[in-house]
Amino acid sequence: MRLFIDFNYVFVWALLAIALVAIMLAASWILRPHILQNSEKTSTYECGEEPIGPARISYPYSYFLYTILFVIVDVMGAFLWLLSVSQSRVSEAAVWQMLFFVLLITAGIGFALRMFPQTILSGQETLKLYREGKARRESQKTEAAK
Amino acid sequence: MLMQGLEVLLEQAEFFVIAIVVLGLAYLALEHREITYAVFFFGFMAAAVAGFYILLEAPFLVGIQIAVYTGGISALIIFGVLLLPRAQDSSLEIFQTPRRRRLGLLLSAAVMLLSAVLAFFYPWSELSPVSPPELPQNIQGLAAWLWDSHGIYVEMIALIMLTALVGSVAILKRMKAEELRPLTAESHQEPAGRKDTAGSGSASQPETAGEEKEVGSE
Repeated sequence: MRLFIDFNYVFVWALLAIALVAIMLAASWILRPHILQNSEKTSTYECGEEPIGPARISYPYSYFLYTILFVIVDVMGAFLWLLSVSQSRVSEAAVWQMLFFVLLITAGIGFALRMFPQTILSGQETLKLYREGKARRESQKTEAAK
Repeated sequence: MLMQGLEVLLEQAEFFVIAIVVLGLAYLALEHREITYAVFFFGFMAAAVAGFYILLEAPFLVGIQIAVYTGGISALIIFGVLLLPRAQDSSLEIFQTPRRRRLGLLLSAAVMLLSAVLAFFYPWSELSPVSPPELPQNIQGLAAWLWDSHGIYVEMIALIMLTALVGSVAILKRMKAEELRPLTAESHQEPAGRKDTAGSGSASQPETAGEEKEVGSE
């Protein structure tokens, strides 16, 4: 309750933000020419290129690691924020615990970034494997011919 | 005295406003056809739930709620949408029969009614509000409690997140091995593939040598 009154400024700020968006949308609606939609206008804009296929494709799964990293940094930031806003004098134990906490998470992030190239299906690797398989097949063929 | 009564009335009004906003956004998040819009409604709903925590005077939970739910979980779902193949024109599953939908509505209404009845008849007034809670209310006390005397909890959180990272890397490596299996099916060539990416500096040389060999054979 007390806290809600303290958050008055946030509400004023939120109202200003909403008003800004509403004014900008209304202004653009008033200023823009109102012409009918056609297929040229509604098609996906790809820097002047003719779009091929739908815009929504499924990305490689490896990119999910970035989201995990983001969530982990997010949680770490939330807990460090708790420590940073407390004005009371922190004890030595808290400092060591904070250092260990950050070290653990940083080690995890470093491990994930180091292993990330190994999780990506690179074209070069695929090509190498394909060529190896092709060479093997050809050598088997020549052996069979002999 | 009048001021206090006004404050209580204001608190109740705030609670009802937040509750209506949360329920409306939750309904939109469930019912919107486009999953991306549904994710955004979910994020706004999570931010509105933070209002409850403000009312309960729990500022740390407000921060966690906005940082983790509005920021993290929404981003996680949006990334999931990006990664998944496009199915059924990117819409959420629509109930085939109106009967199943009505059944679901009935079930959720029953659960809500039950919890409302329990909350209504629970003897809240008999609880002793004077006893201070274990966790200190203010954020400084909470910081001292969590980081000074109960640091093991924070380290456990760090370990859990470390486990999530290692597990995601392991899953991604397994998926890559599965995708490469058609190419390596004839013989076990996986170690060679791994070695190639491990040392990026030394890996370029054998590759070019292999290409030269290929050119020579042709």
